[in-house]
Amino acid sequence: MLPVRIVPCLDVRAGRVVKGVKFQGLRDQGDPAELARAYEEQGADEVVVLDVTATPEGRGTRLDTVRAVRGTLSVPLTVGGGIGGVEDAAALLEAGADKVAVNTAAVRRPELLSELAARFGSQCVVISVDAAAAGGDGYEVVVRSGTKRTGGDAVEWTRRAAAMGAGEVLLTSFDRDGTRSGYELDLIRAVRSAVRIPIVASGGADTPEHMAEAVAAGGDAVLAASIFHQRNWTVAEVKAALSALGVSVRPAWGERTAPSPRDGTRTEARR
Amino acid sequence: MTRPGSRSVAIVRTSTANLASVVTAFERLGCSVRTTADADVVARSGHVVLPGVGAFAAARAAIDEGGLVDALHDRMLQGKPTLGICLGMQLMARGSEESPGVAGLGVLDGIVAGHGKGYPELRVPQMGWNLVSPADGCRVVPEGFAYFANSYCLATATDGWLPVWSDYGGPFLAAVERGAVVACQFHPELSGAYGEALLERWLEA
Repeated sequence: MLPVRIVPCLDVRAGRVVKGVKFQGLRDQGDPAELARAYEEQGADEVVVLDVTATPEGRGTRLDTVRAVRGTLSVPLTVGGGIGGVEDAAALLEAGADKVAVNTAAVRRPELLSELAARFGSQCVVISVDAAAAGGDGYEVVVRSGTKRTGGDAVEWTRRAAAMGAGEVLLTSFDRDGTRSGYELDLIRAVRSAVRIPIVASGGADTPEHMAEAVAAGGDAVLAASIFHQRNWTVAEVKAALSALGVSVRPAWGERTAPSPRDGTRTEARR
Repeated sequence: MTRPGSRSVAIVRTSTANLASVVTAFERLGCSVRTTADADVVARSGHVVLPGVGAFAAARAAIDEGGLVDALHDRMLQGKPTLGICLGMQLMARGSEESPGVAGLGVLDGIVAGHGKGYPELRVPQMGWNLVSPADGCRVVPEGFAYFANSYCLATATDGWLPVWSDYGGPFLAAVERGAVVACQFHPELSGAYGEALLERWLEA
């Protein structure tokens, strides 16, 4: 196993980082390029930029935001939001994305995944799955930033997406998004048993303990937004705490090991 | 001491590669960067980068189309500063199981093969940071964690090239170097401060 990746997520609307709860009630959190650079300096293993309102408002992801982030960021950048076809993805990659995350358009037309993989390689193609607890058992795919339920089974859809060429899954629990109540572990376990591609677990992070749970459930990377934007934790503090919990994380360049747990003690006063 | 702007780098434009990360990484180091598909430029430039993402056959076709094969092959054999990245490294081998029957540049021995055969638990692609360990004598590639995003790799060392090993379901070549000719399976341009240190050393090699 590789060290677990800690992935800050920048939800962007109109060039600004925003964050809401269950994709609603978005509040301003800062400038994307400045935040991305700060997170890299703290030890982020990669950064995700999602244009959260791209699909509902029918516009493409802002390329200038991607260029600005790329200009300051020297770790991998995944960009998602409003990717309708191969040319949208090509424009994002040209602007500086390393991976593209597709969601609504792939649900509508799964062949898009094969087309993207054929042109850019699977390692470039992330299937973004937003899953909500279904009425009875299991999880249902939701699209259009959570505004539309599809009735499709999230685990089966992820399996199909991987078979069609997706090289990674960004697996978001719609029910947990922004709630800081922990990742949806059963969802991660179910997808882990279905696919071989790496899983980026998303939705519900509040503490390093939550992240360790997501890793134990099968996550290869853990995504978080609110806890970093609101400065409850730095990435370095999260890594130190995870290391103390026995989770392997990437040490900073020049360090033999991850930061010591002492450096990572959280001060309650900052919450 | 380095003088910003005094160093120039030519990056080979293959139709499959997303170049922005490579371009901006060198720009941050104060280089003047051009992308090119011109064989003369590839032959004459001081420092040349052969990046690549996507499929082996498509990348081979792209360098064929530009008439770049001889220029790349010759400068690698002549020891002119050249850096292959990811698929760019794989193109330096004899071939790849990804695209049977399609020849590589043949500068490196061996055939590129898939990660994780016999290890169904292994995540494929390899996506993330892995520890790389250079052999004694390596001057460009440091020890440290580097960012990988690959399903295929080379596992055979080539005489005359210093190996840099890593492990992912078995040992594989994270990089090789011979003087100023360096090939990395990982992405130095996405490997943060580690990658910047590597690129800086290559520019000074």
